[in-house]
Amino acid sequence: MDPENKLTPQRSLELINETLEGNRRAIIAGSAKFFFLWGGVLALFSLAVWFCWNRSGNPVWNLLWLGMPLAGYPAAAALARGSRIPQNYVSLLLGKIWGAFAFFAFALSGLASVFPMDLTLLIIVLLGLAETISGVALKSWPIIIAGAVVGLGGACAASVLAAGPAQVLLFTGAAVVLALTGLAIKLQK
Amino acid sequence: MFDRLDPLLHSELRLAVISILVSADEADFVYLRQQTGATAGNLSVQLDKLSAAGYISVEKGFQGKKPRTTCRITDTGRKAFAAYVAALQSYIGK
Repeated sequence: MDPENKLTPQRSLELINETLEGNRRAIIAGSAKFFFLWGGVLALFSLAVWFCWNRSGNPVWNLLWLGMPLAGYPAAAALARGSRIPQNYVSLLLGKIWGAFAFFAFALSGLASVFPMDLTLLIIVLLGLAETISGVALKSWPIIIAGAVVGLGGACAASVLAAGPAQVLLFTGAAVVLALTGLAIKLQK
Repeated sequence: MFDRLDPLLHSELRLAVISILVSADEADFVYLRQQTGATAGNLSVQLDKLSAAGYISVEKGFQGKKPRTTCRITDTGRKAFAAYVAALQSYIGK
């Protein structure tokens, strides 16, 4: 770019639009690694819970879920620190959306011990909803569609499957969709 | 009557830098260089001009052991950008 290049008004507006669009794309591309990360963490914990619960027959292994934020948030913070992608209102909004998801997921888990409810169904719908809203914020169709697949497909599957360790594998499926979302974003770039 | 275009912003590289910063909380030097395709020397000179005009603030620090230069748009810069876009619209609209 020639810094002293004299622009026409039309070219100036084009340049502003191109730059804003380039910035938006960079932020979307930067979100891919977080989808990989949370997809990986969710897959790991869901498989661990399923394995332990399935072998022992004791649902107490669901307490392992508490380790998910303990493992995921420091890793996400480290990823964010190492990133050169700037923060903007969209990336801040994404943080709040997933923070709200985590709050509801853990609050419902606590409430479920007092008020019996289909926790898997509720959490998988919340997960899909959070992903879809993220997609809307990022104006990214792969994320919107993946969120709908996780939320609606997961709700149907949770209704069909009997409560037990097998339901936990729905979260493994959701984790794969999260990771695939990250891959779709990478390929889109 | 056409509005006067701010000569500091009416330059390809400086306008690109301000456009990035107006939509981000902050951006580091390497990111700005990648997004604009400018050379380090050229970008550095233009950042100094924007900083001297009070349009951006430049902060030099470290990320781990690596030096990192971070830029932020100031309120003056934001107002100048808004005025520049409004002036452009007066040209396009006529």
